[in-house]
Amino acid sequence: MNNTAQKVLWIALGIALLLSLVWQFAPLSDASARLNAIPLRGLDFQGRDLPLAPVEISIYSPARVLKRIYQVGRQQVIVVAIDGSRNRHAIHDPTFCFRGAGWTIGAARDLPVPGGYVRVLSLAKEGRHIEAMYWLSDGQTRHASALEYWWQTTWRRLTLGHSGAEPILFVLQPVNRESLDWELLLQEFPGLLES
Amino acid sequence: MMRLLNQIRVEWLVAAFCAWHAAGLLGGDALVHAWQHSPYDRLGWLALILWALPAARAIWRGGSANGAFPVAMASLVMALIGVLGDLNFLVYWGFAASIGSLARVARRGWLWLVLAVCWMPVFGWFGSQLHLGAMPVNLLRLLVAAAAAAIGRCGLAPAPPKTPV
Repeated sequence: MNNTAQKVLWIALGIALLLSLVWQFAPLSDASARLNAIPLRGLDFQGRDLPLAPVEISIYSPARVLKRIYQVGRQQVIVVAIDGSRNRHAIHDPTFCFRGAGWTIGAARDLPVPGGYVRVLSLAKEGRHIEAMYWLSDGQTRHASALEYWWQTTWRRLTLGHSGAEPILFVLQPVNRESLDWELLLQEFPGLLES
Repeated sequence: MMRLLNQIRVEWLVAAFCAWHAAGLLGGDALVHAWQHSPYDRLGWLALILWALPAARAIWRGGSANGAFPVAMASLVMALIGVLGDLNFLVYWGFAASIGSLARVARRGWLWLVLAVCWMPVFGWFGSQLHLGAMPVNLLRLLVAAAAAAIGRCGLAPAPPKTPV
């Protein structure tokens, strides 16, 4: 490497160090307000907070996580909502997590909702069959694409939050049942789709 | 000052910058965390060792040989975009390229650089999308790492010493 190349690399390294420090300490607005706005009770539903298991704390920290069990009409559901503003890597592609936990993913179907769609997965493990529903929401648009999430959050960080709001991941699982009437659940608990 | 800076091999500092971020030393330890907790990534550390062997050999034999400027610059740009955008796989590839610049990656070494994906968590994610189980993905990871090690032996060999005219 000649002297000119060395000088160029020194300058580039200096710029890289400076930018990485600025980005490290630049404030990035989070989605706390939208997470806090998820109602605990309403006309057809009521819920209570569930504590996180130590392994969940280790995986998610320092991301903000809301874990609740809700009675929605005649159905019971566990809702996990994660705001990855402080730790984007706390949010994984749910299909990757389910497979990693030993579940086999069968059919997947998308349900249209305001601003996009949510996805319902059929899961099987050791003779047990359940369904789970998930989506990512920035408050305006809803989707279930990990690649779109990566693009949204990367662009958001590159622009220091100016490109839009941080998407929240919602994962819903039935309690003591294989499946739920997901459409009815969303009708009876519209607040879930407002955050 | 410039004389002092000229004596320091800046490509080593670039590699240190990339390694610093790849190891998550400024918060988060995604790589080690994935190796510890994700069944798909459990053998990533072994793949990294296998993948890095030819580079370690080339750097060791290369002695004071200069690093490759375009590769060092590319590694810095990738790592920086990865850091600013919080995109780990770009940081990891930046780190891999910085090792490649030290090992003076040759034409065949580019494939070795591409195969660095074998130790990254994104490899496990791709494997899971192909509906493969965790064990087959880990075995495939090691196979790719072994292939990378074999390719790297040819593609990262240090330049022969100049013969006096």
